[in-house]
Amino acid sequence: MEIFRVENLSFAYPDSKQKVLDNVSFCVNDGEFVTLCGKSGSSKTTLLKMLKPQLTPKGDKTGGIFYKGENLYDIENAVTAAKIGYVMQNPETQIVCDTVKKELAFGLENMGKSPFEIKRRIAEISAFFGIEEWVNKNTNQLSGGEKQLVSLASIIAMNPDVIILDEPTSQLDPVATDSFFNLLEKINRQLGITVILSEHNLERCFSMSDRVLFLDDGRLACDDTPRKACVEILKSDMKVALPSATRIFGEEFSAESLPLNIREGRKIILDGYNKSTCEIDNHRNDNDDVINLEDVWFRYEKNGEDVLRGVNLSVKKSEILAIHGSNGSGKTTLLNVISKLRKAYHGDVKLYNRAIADYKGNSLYRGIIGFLPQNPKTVFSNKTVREDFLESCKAHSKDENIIDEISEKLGISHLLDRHPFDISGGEIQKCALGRVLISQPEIILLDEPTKGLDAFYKSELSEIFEKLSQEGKTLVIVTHDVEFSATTAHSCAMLFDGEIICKEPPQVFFSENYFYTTSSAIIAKDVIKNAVTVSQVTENLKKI
Amino acid sequence: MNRFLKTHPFTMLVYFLAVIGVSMFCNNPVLQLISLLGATAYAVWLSKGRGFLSQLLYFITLFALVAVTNPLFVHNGKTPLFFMNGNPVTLEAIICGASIALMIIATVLWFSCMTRVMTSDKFYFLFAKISPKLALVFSMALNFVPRLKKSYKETEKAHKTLGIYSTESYFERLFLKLKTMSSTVAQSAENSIETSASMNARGYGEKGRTSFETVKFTFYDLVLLCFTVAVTIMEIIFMINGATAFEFYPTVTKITLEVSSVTAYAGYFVLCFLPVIIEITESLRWKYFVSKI
Amino acid sequence: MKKTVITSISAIALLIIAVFSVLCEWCKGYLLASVLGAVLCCLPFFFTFENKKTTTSYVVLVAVMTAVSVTGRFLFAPIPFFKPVSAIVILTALSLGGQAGFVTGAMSALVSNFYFGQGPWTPFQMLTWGLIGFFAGLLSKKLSKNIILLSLYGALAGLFYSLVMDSWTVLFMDGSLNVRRYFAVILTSLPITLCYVVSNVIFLLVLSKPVGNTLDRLVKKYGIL
Repeated sequence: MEIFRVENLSFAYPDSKQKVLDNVSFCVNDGEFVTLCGKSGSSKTTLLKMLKPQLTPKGDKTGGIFYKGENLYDIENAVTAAKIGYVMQNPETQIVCDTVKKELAFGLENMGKSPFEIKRRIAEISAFFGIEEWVNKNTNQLSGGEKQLVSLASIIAMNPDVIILDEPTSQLDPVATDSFFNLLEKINRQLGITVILSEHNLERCFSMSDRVLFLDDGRLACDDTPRKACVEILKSDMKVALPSATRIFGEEFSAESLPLNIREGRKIILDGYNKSTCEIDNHRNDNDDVINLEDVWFRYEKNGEDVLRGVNLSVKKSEILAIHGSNGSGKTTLLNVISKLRKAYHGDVKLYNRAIADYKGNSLYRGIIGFLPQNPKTVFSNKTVREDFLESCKAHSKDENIIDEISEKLGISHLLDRHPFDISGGEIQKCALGRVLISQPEIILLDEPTKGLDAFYKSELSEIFEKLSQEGKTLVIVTHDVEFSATTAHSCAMLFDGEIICKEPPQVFFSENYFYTTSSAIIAKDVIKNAVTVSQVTENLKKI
Repeated sequence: MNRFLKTHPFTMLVYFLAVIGVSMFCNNPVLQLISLLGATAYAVWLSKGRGFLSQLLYFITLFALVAVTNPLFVHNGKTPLFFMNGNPVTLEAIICGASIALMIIATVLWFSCMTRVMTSDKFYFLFAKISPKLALVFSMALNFVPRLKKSYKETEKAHKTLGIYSTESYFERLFLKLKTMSSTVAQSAENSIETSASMNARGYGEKGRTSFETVKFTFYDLVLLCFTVAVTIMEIIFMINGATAFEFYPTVTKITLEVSSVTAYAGYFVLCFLPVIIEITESLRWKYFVSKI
Repeated sequence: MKKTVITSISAIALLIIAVFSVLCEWCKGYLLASVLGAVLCCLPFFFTFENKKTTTSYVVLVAVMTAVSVTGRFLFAPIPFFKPVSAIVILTALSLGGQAGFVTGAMSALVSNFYFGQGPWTPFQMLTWGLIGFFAGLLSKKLSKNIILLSLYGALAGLFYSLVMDSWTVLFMDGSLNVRRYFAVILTSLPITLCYVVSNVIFLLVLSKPVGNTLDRLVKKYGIL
């Protein structure tokens, strides 16, 4: 049976002639797992919101949307609220209540269900999701991944026919992302609930999907099985978002045999290719050390546990260092210690061979250190991006021309007069970086700069970082994103249990790692030595 | 063990309002003293004695302040002790001040007990039925406070490292604080739009919203409620017919022990000590049960 | 429509005050009567808020602004009496209207006292902060255009808050409104009053633009009112 039928849907926002959705038609059947992909700004969110009447934006709409054969907008609010579930991107903002239990009950309470029934649903759903232990927890104490699970659970509790998810894992770390997808698969397979998922990281969700919708510039460019859709996507600049295996073999294989995941890719490479070795780029760097950490110990509270236990680290000028490590391993803390936001109780932190304690007042932040926090919105406080930039210019007594210079370099000139919160995720990240760059810092610390970005913005960011490095800036990036650091970093370090375990060039780092490594490295393991990125693998395959 | 904590929120609210109301409404020092003792006993029980000593000092100062300053402003009364700036300082005024001080301390103590026992979720439970929208504002605001604090800290970090304000000077620090605050407000307000979208998406605003949290109104609650109301009415009657009426000026009324006044004192005594009595019997019963294991 | 709401609210409030002053005279229970009076004065405002048809975002935004003023009380804890509550309440009222202002003010008092200690003073704080917000909403057209008038209103609000809380102190300490003690209390709390006035003006001057812009933008963009 069909759940949704969308016919010739076009949409334009008020006061705008540009159609963000242009003649889109598709159909979603009961029990299907449909993935919607497309570049950032390809109106994925708008399309998904059109399917949920409570969230449908105002604007000029033509065409029809039918839910189980009925016009979607004629159906009672109570029905669409319960039967069409919607999970949003940001785990922090969609939680309403103070305890997990109340959050699970929220939708059911709105439906006017009896206390008895609600309690029964909560019991059921927390058993199904395995979250009984948290039921009485305060939602503020949950991690982002846990919050997102609770949001999903609170929607499943309303017993929907279909759930729509708008990039639900973009703010999560890889481990949380994985468990979220596992649950999603379980919901689809075991409960038969239809899933419509928009996602920019296709590595994980393609193998679960029955069908892929590819949205390009507001048009539906493709509506097909994942394998066939891949062929279509490979032709567009969305191809960077495809699974590594698909990208590696995309040009040679036809739709039927195109590999979609690591297992399939690895099979091809093991069966058909001879062993070879990829050259290692050591990123030779003879510059002086800029950052020096010697036996640094840190804890937040006097009687608390040590977060950093004897960190030793040195970073050379114009090096791009990526620091990896699991959640709570102290990555962000390390950045805080380097940037003097926190003070180590033991050990030396030196910048340019000078102890950071000697940098008085805010002198450290005037041309030496720039810090791009995890949430780029925190950097802004004015009405437009330009005003924020001007404020920084004035404070650092820089010429206003620097604004144009920086915005050209980052490709954000067209955004300067917009309100910071009206700008999309990838672009605001660049704007935030722009503001940080105005003080012309020598060292730039970045906390999860690729969080929530799609592959396209990631590659842009990667180019920007390389440019900055060539200008002599030193970059220290804390990240979960192995693919990004494999292509961008000059050296990678692993922080574990409060210590830097190793620091190596990315090729060495990722080929020496067995589990914590890039998909390409796993695919190429034992066959092509030292190949850790898609381009390294493909180049070597061509050579053979 | 905390039996009184499990009382139905409505009964609990009525209880506290009655106890505090009687103590605030009447000016009889005996009742004030009973109220203070009851409040102290329960406060000590709740805090298990911890932190009470430090509070004691504060209360003694408060007592002295009110008792001593009262005669400076009130010159009524027939028994002048001495003159100050040509104004009499009277015994009656001092006694009146002391009685008021007792009342103030008792009230503050009762409220501190109430805040401990009547937690915000009980408050929410009560008012969600009468006024769902306001109750929602209340509980969401409580929930937003820790979120805002967290977001403030993140934003402060970002703004500090932008290097616009120095962290050394007092005024620059204040400005950093204000700047961070306005940025936090902007982010949180923006986020609130998403929160409300998530609420709408789950059918908020539909008619006939229910509340899944039910607290059983037990027989115990009924008895407690009836007793509380009965004692309160009795106190009011005794106050109006003069059994516990009390005047400080021109002379302090003598405290007489008649049947009616003793009944009034005894009734209020039981009411004030009720939480402690309930807790003690309950813990004894508990010990008895445990001993049988 | 708006006028009828205002007149009915003030009529109810006056009626309640009249009833209570009679009650006070009759049995000398000033203290209890004043506390109950404060509670009852809040009720008509709450009632209209409850029954007003609003968007969900309006309600959530009021909750956020309440949380902001409560958090403000924490953030500026190191500086005694220098608190942004009144300023935030006023700014909320300017953008979201008097009713939202009243509820933000009243709820700020109620919620923050869950952290700072409830007491018989809670209803008074609720009423004063609420009224500060409500009147700011009534005068919003004039106040939002003129920063000088706004600061003046902030200063008056500080004075008003201080005077009401002083009268409450006297009632609490005296059992009746002893005029001499009232003046003594006003005199001794003069530095505190001054602090309220100054802090309100400073916070309004600094925050009115960013916070006002933020709220106005959301009101316009998402059609919140």
